[in-house]
Amino acid sequence: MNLFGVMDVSASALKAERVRAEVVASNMANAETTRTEDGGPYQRKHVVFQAEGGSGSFQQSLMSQIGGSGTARSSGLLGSSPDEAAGGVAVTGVIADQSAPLRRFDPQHPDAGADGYVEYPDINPLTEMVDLMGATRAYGMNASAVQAEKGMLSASLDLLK
Amino acid sequence: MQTTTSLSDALGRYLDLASDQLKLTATNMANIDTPGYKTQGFDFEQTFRDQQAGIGTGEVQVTEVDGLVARPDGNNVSMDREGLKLAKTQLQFRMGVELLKHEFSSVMSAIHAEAK
Amino acid sequence: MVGIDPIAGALQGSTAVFSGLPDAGTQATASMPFAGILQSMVQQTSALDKKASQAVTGLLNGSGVEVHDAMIATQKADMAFELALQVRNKAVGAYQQMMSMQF
Repeated sequence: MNLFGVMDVSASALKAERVRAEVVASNMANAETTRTEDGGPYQRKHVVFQAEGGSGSFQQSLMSQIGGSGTARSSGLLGSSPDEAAGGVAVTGVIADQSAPLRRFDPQHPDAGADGYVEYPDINPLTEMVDLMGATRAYGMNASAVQAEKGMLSASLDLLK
Repeated sequence: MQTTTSLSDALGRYLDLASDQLKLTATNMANIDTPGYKTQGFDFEQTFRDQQAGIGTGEVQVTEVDGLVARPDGNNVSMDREGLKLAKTQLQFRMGVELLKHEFSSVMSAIHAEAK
Repeated sequence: MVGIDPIAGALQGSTAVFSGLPDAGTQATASMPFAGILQSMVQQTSALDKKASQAVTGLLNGSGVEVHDAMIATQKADMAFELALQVRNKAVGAYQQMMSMQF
């Protein structure tokens, strides 16, 4: 992973955090949705992150790029290998929460069941807001990491001047 | 014909280490929300001194960092630590680049110096 | 900077040859003031260069040298080098001018 590859790592984080923010927005928008296409109330979704490390630890991927005998880092001049950035993060899935829905008694509601209870998704707006704040600060951190990487790259280009 | 100095070699190694530190910090930052991820790092000053003295394999030993508190999902990445490392590494890299530029430019000016 | 020590040593040796004595030292300074000046300039430049190199290495090692100290030492060495260079240029120019004089 050369210095350009580092930007791929931060870019993967930006992508992942954006997905997380979208899921939070979707949860909050559907907090009162009692009816979906599959029938039943909206199920709260959450994302699963996974670190990408390639075949081993960071040490191994770092060393594999350098080469066994200390040759030049020639593997990929303008980018890392075709697979995902080693060391980055990927969203491995957006899965639905399996917890039981919230039940409120409202026999007049069109979606009320036989016993008069309506099922609502169990979405706590406070939890969602905290999640969103977490996604925002992680996004901001990784954006400033991209700025730092850009700065370092252009500083090293200055060597030729 | 010798056009490099021991100082420019040392500066080259310094820049290599700074860019390795940046990669590690970027990886830690990217995985701040990954459950179970442990912060990875290496001792910058010690590694640089070892490389200068020629001891060890010259490779960077990446280990898990101690002393960090893990959150309930198992992730122990500290935003403050990574932000600080990022700022510091940026400045270190820039300092190394400026010093290296100066090394090369002083050799160049000696080569270009002409008597009238 | 590439070491100036060999030059300082050569200069010392050459002043000894010109003054005809095996151990020039102050004798050379007295009889050939300019050579002495140039030699001391080169020596000072070499010393400042060494100091700057040490300061920068200490800074890189993290052994307590402050950034501004290393920068100041580097700048001092630079200025000494430039000064010695310009003095040399002027001296060579003056010599050529003298040599081109016709009687």
